[in-house]
Amino acid sequence: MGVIKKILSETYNFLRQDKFALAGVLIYLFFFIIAVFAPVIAPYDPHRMIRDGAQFMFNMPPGGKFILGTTNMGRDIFSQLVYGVRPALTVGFAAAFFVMVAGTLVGLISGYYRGKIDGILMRITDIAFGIPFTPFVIVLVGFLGPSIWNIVMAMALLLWRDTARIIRSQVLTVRERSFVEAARVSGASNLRILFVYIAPNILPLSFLYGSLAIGWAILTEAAVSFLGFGDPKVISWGYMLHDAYVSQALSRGAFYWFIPPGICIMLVVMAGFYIGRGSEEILHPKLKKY
Amino acid sequence: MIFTMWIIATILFFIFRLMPGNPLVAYIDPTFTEEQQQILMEQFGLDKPLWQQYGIFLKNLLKGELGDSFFFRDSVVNVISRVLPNTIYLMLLALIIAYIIGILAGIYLAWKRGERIETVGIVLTLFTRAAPQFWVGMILLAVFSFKLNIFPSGGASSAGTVYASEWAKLLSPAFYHHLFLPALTLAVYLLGLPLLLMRSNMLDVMNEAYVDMARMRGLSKVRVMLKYAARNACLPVITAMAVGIGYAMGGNVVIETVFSWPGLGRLLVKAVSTSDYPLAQGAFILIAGVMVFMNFVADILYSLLDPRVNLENRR
Amino acid sequence: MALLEVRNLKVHYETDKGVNQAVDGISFDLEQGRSIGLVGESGCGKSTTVKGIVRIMSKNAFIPTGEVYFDGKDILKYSDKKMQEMRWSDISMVPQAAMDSLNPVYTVKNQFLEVMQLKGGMNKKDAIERAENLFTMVGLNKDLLSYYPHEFSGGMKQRAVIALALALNPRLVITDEPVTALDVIVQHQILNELKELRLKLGLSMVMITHDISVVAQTCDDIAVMYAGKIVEKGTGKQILKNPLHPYTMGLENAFPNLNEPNKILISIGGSPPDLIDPPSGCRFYERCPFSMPECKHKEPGLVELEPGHFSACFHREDVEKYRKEAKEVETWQQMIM
Repeated sequence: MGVIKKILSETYNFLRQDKFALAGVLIYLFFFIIAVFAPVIAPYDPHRMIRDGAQFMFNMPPGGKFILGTTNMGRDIFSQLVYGVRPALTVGFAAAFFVMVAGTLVGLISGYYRGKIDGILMRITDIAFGIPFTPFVIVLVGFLGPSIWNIVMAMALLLWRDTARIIRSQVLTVRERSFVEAARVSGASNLRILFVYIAPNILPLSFLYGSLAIGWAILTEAAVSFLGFGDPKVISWGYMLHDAYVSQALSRGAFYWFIPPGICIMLVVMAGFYIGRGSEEILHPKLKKY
Repeated sequence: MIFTMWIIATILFFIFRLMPGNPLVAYIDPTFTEEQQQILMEQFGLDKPLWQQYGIFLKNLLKGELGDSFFFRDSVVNVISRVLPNTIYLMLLALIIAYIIGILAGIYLAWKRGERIETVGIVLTLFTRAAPQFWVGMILLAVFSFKLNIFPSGGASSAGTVYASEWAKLLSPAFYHHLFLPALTLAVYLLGLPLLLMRSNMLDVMNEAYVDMARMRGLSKVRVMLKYAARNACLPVITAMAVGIGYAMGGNVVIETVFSWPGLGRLLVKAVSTSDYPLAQGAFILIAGVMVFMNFVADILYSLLDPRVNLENRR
Repeated sequence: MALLEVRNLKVHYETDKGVNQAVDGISFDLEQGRSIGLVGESGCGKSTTVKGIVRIMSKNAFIPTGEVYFDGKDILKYSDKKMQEMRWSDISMVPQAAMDSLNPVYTVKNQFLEVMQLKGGMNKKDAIERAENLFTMVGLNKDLLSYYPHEFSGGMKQRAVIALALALNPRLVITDEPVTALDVIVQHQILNELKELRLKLGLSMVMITHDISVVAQTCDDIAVMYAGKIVEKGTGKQILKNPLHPYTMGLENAFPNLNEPNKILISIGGSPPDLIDPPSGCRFYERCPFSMPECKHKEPGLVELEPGHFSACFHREDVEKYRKEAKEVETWQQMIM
């Protein structure tokens, strides 16, 4: 209980100081509210081809009943945009969760136990690094079928790699510190040391990479959907962009269709960068061979 | 390097063999005749146990035998080698643009530390990392091609024209006219890393004693910034290229699609969407191979640039 | 007219917590051909003073007041460009941590030639010849010029940067902790070599160090600094034989000396005051074993107690008594409580 209180108060202080992080949290909050209240906010069903009497509302420019106009199949762009928050956040957080859990576990075990297990886990991580990310996701999703969960799973298979390396590196440092030594001497079991002493020290880094992972996941899902391997039952922002592209929205100059989804993606990903001092890691990237 | 490739190939082997559906489909187009199917089954040992298939698979791989593309009715190797150079040109031009702009901007932002333009610069850079690459490409296309008509809207050559040879292509201005927008799009995404890395290193290096001493010797600010600070700060940026290339390959896939650029990325997408397994497999292996190779090149570059490494070889 | 005349120089820093008055009114003279040691512990403002004189301070530093006359002209009023010309040609520096003071990715020769060709206007052939002569003069093999900085040992590197400092025949050389990073034997050698070079070339020198025994070996004059101010000033002989300020007495106890291998080292307890909000009285009050009530509220100014020997302390007549007490361990130990 005390631990939770401590984390909460530290988070509060941290947010007060770091304006970027605050902005990030606010952006997430904003999108989260939209996701929850989407049915109330969006005027139409995003899949519905809207008709005015006998005539379909194809390619309507923004104005009147359609805040952002309609697609070439008569669907309301604004509604699609609003509903699009859901898959974005779902994919983002699901992937981030997995990345954090898997990456942190691998890093913890690898860094703490060292020896053979470290060797094996790091080899696996090296291989994960050797596989090109987006092409891999495309191949997997292309063959397994375009469902949003296939996309998340495909990403999860590789996305943990950065986190694993950096957590391991951090664990290597923390484990040498005197309080860990003291715990060991007083007879604490390995598991206890790992989770009670070491983990709290590396959790901030975990969260940071988790929040970065949200961004990467959303960007990759968008790319996969754009290429046509997205889930047609779920209209994500990437899917909107795919739709726009294949319907020649570019040549028609239908900026109202393809600009907003991109902006939304950009905002959510940026928010991920800002939170958890992502700014720090991004602004001062260090390149070491772990 | 070789070990990694081997593991990747093995993973690929299992992915394609374990695909839902008929495992034979991985190599045999159902529209082939019985006879053709039989020949292929023997060639790839598809009627033998899995571990034997694996052996044949590896042997074929080493021989460069990747099978035939269903869609193009040509050997995978041929299909890929036609388009691979285009991807390389795209990546190279994008990397050059990205690194030149990124490094210079990084130096500039470090120099302007504490001033407002620094914050503006950083936020803009974060935008380039957060915006989906294909979206940036779409915007550039819509504005510079469709609206303003400055650049062509896709492909590597104008409709109907074909280049006489590889050299003819490289020497023809039309090629670069087509190459520019896709390269620029990729560059926009790539420049974030060298920029931020360079800036970060510059800030560290500018605190080093030898920078102060260079000023003390009365050398000009520009000289100190470039020969003393930047020259030392840029070394890790070169290593970063390896990481950058990894991202580039992923980016290629979408950017080539947006601009209909006839490269390896677009080929992969086409192969996957048409269930052309041999081609998809071959393209994937190549992409992974290019990445691994470029990492290797970056390592060598680094050891050449830093005199503190590889001392014996130099004396 | 002295070569260098520093008058009431102040160098302050802007920090998040306020203005750090790192150097707060320093004055001293250096005659042509002589050497002066600026002695004091870390953070007393010695390096800052010197950086202020040649104006290579960090972005948040500024000089609120003061004059620095070099050859009769106030160089603090020089434009940045003019100052840039002066650097190395008139005033050069042998830096602290010679390890890191050369660009690691270029050869030593490259860096010599750079300054000689760009600032000294020499052609390549002459520059190379001069570089070789300089190396020989400091006792280094001229082939070493083609090596990279990290390939030099500590003592060699120190000699190399001394050679570099002499490249353009400057009139004044500032040495910043020139031997701190070296072991005692090598220290001794380098200090002697520095002295010889100085006499041979007629150089004037400002030596910055926290080790008073180093200064004893090489400097004609000494200025002892504490918390941004000069607390004692005089010739080397005067200060070492008859220290007037308690801080100087304490310093003398704290450092090993080759000539007194059995000396017991006594450190001065406590730490220097915060210069963002400096105390109103004597800055050494907290740590001084001889302090009197008036020291807390009034700041003693520099007073000439014998010809050319100044001290900033209220003890002016009974100094002899305190000098004896300062040599006892107990005097200082009671301050550590």
